[in-house]
Amino acid sequence: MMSQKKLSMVADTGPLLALGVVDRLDLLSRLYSAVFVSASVRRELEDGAPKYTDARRVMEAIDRGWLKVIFITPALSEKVDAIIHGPPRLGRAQAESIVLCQQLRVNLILMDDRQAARVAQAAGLNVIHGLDIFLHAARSSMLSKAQALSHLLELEQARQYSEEELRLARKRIEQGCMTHGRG
Amino acid sequence: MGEADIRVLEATDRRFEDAVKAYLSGEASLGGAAEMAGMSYCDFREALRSRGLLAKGIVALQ
Repeated sequence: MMSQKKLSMVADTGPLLALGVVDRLDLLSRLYSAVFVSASVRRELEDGAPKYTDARRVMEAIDRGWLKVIFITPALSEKVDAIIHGPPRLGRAQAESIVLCQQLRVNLILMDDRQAARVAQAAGLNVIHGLDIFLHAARSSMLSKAQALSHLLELEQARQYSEEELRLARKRIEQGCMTHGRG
Repeated sequence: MGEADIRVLEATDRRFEDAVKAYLSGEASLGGAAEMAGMSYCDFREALRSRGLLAKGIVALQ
């Protein structure tokens, strides 16, 4: 089995919120050597934290040092702007996440959004889906199958992912395989 | 509520609808659509989630 313990990744806002819904942001720090977020991702979470528990939990993960906030260097700001304007049009935080990978020479990005993921893949990045975290945690024995499946149920009830995505994720957890390294 | 307030609300609704359409059609990502709508990412995401639309633009597991 391939170990991801030494790998670093950049995380976008969406999957972090999903992990916040089930309060399992700890999995990221256990599965990866470092998880970076851009300053704009942090800002989105900060804006949401007063109203949303999931955003508040991600902010707590930042405070605990599980996620490291990195600013985009001025030299790369034009690149961020170009990605925002697309097409497709991306949010600043998503564009910064992609550029942050290039800045840090990190090849993995945690991203759920279909359009943003396509742009990331076109930039040569390996996109990890939020549900992959549960699959990998189950394979690494950080979660039992029952725990992983329970988290998927919570996400289903919270309407965070489509039925099809959840069905496939359940199947993979049952079978003990994962989808890491898509793209 | 005065006419000016109603116009503001209507414009806001139109902006939101246009952003949702852009998200669902693939012209914009969730973050891009949120910015089009003039909403915070979390508020826009919650608005989509509560309407059962959030998963429509999420990457399909392969």
